[in-house]
Amino acid sequence: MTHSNAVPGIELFLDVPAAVPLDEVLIGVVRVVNSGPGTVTVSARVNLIEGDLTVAVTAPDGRTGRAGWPYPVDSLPRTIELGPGEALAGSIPLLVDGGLTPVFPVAGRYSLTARYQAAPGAELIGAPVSVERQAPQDDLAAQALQDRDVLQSLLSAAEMGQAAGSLAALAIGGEPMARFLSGLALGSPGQVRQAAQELAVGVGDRPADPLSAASALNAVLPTGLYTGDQRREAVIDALTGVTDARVRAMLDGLPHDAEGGI
Amino acid sequence: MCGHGELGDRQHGCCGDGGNEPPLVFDDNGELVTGSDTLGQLPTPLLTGPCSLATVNGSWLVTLTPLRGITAFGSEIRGPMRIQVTGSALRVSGDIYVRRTGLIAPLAPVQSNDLPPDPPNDAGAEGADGQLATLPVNGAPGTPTYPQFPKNQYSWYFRSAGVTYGNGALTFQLIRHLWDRTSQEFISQDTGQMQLNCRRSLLTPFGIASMTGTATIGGTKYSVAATKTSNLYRGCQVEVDVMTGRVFPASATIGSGAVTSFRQIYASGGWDVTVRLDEVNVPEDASLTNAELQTLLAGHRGPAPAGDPWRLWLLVGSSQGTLFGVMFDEDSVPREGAVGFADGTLGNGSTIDPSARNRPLDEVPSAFLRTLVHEAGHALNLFHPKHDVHAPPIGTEIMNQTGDVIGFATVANPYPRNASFAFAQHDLDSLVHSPDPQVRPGWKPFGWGHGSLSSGLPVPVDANGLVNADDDEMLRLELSLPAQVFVGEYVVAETVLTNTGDIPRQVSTRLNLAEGDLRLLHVLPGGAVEQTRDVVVACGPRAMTTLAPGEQLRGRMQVLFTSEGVTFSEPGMHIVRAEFDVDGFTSVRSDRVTVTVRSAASSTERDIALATLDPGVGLAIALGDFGANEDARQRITTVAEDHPDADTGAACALVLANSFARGHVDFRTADIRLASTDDAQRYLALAAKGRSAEQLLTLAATVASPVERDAPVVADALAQVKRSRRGKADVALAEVIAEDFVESSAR
Repeated sequence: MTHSNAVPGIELFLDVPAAVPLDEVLIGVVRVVNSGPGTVTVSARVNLIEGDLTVAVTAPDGRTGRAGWPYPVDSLPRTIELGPGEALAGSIPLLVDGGLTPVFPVAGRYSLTARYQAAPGAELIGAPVSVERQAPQDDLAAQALQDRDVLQSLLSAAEMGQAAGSLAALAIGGEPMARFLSGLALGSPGQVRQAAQELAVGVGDRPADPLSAASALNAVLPTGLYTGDQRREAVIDALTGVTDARVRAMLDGLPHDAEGGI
Repeated sequence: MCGHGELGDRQHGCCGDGGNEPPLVFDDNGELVTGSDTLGQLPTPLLTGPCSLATVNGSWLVTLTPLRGITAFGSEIRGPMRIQVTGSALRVSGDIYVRRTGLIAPLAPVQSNDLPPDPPNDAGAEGADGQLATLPVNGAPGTPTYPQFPKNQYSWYFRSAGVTYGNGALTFQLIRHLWDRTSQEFISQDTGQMQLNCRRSLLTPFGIASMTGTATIGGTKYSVAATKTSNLYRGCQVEVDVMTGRVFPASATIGSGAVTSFRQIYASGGWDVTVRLDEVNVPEDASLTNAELQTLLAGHRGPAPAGDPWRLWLLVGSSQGTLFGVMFDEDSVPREGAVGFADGTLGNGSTIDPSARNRPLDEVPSAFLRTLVHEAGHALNLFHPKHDVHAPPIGTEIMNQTGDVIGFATVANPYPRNASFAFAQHDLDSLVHSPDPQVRPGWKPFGWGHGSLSSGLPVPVDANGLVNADDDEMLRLELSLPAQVFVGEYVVAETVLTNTGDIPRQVSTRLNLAEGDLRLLHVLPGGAVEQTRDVVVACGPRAMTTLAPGEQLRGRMQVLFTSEGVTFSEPGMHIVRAEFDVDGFTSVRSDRVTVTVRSAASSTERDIALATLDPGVGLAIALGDFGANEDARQRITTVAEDHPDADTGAACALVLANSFARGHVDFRTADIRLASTDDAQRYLALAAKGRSAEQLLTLAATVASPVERDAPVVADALAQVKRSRRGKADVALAEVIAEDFVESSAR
């Protein structure tokens, strides 16, 4: 259910896994869906970087905060037309507040509510969703994901400060999303390609999930803002054979049929 | 005609200095209250007149001197005070820095960091609006200065809560926010009042304005002196470096047809920003990541000028995606660098000025200038209005994103012509009146003040108040702690006090946590602050020693279990700082040390933690003796015998060795524990196995309570290593540790 006070027929959805351990990076997928009868023009900036999208977080102890992006930016508006029944999907890294403070400091159930400035003066509010942040299986990895330099590196898709050691460890032995983003930060096309392929085709008990690779990429190097960035190429190469319309739409920054879900 | 009570006339000097008028009264928000006459006329010295409001308005250097309780060791209590007079409001705020001089009065002259006059290549110092004139105006010196002091002297922030001004008398209630230097947060507040008298000679009305008066703040009375330093409120140096082939917009014609500059826009916000165009050939890089921007900041920013003035590095760079700019500097010294992306292009929408469509940003000077001023605003901790926790309105002013400003553009009034090249009121208030830690580049992180970081305050450090005495600059205190520990691990801290001056110093020898001169200030992962001392605090005369130049005093202590209980019980990043009362008058603090605490991982670590997290065991380790606590003895014995290779196991063995080396009487129950030399020797041998003499004595001297100079485990351990076949150098180090335990000596 979406609350919207200014854009009739436009809905906002935030999708997150039901449970994610604290030694993994939580990536959310945000969908702007046109369920109305006509074509509408909405902001295409479905990311945390440019500031149209924010996520309110309620911690297990009731404290409230916000998941955000640590670097304030200036940028142009970007818009896109959504036909009836179409959706635009973006993805977001739920790691830090507006600074570099981890947004999930302890295990427990968190409530998340997305807000999106779909157009000037038109804010969409998604229905709250919850995620269980489970105790980590790897304490060191969980600690690394609370480290300032590691967080900066994952979000910047570039190695920052003293994060090299932790990134290398995460890129080799981390959970899938953490492994993917660490490889991206280390500028290691091989590791990124391998992590993307593992996500796309599945490994062991893990089912194929090509959308997760596209989501992880778009979370830090979103289409539209970073289209053409060389760091995206290894992932796009790895997903060349993926024909899933949702994945292609996310990588291309285009709308897709909303009935297909995401 | 000069209208009585009309601030605008006063502000513009209609009545000039020298008028005697009824006082103006301003409420908590600094707004003018009409019809007030709360102060009577004050006696006026001959040949002087009260300062005009234009004279009162601006930056002042304020100095406070306690009227009572002055010690022989003086303190400099001083800082910037900003008095802002606008059309109908008068507000005061200030930041106080305290430095203990160690000198008997009179105090040394107060120094402040000057902003130099505009350098020859100043990129936009035209001063067309007259704000930046070099001639003395309104009591400010021809060359303005802005009091800026070292961050480690910061002590409190104050702001007015109701102001009156009349006949030269400025009176205001104030709220003071006390700063804790360890947690780097404001932790408590109190109130006070300040009264200042501003009069100027009628014979020489063009001198620098000054004020004198009194203040009562937090129950302490001060005499106050203030000297005007500028007609603006704050200053900052901006170094601009430009990537090859890009252009910094030194000036730009804006929608109104006026020409403005980076400097002028900030001057309209009350800031005196000197812009120095430095490098114009930063090597080409078509796309810049945040990591590359950090590297450029480190490599291209000029060295810090003398006096550590406020400064900011601004890059005219190439691109990062389609962004126009970013304040990228979020490292441990944040908000010192920002970038504008010259290669970003404006779109071709109908609300973009035709001359700007699809043009690189640096070919549209007003748009690029707006972005650069905007990014610099982030470095001063200003937020996008739409992200500001105070929810100011979104508009066309500087701190709105370009995208939002374009949202207000029309075909008839396209971007960038529709942009307002000024700060919104909410940002003006912040620029002028927010505390120094919030706005000064390199201090509090982005988000403090207008974002999520500004909510909530940590608990006070000390119920007895803050220790804001200044660090002794001729002594250095170093704290060593392991970088990583697991919960329940035995942890040894070492402190070293060094005389870095050129004269001998009398210093306390009590470099331990038990005798009151040393404490640890401990910031837990959640931000709470604890003061850490030993579980036993002894009282007695302060033993002093002479520390010659270059000499050191060393102290070692266990911090597994302290006045906090288990000190590192919470996984996460802990920050610890040592603070040492050198002589009762001077304190010295160490740098902050980070300790990463993790959960016990291996079976050995879990076994150890299971025992040492027990309060009885912790207390036994802190005291170096299990006393009559049989449960603690059993747990300690298990750890000692099962894990002697781990230092925590060895420490437990030494607690047993110390305990068994002497008897113990429980006077409550009359139970007697007899000494057992064999057991003492057995556990001492267990601890010694596989350890150097130095390692063994470090553990022994930290297991033993510092208030028990004759604790047998130290002497026994030293005797043990002397008996055994160990290297002379190793034994010598052990002897030093044993000697230091009995009485710290300068070396």
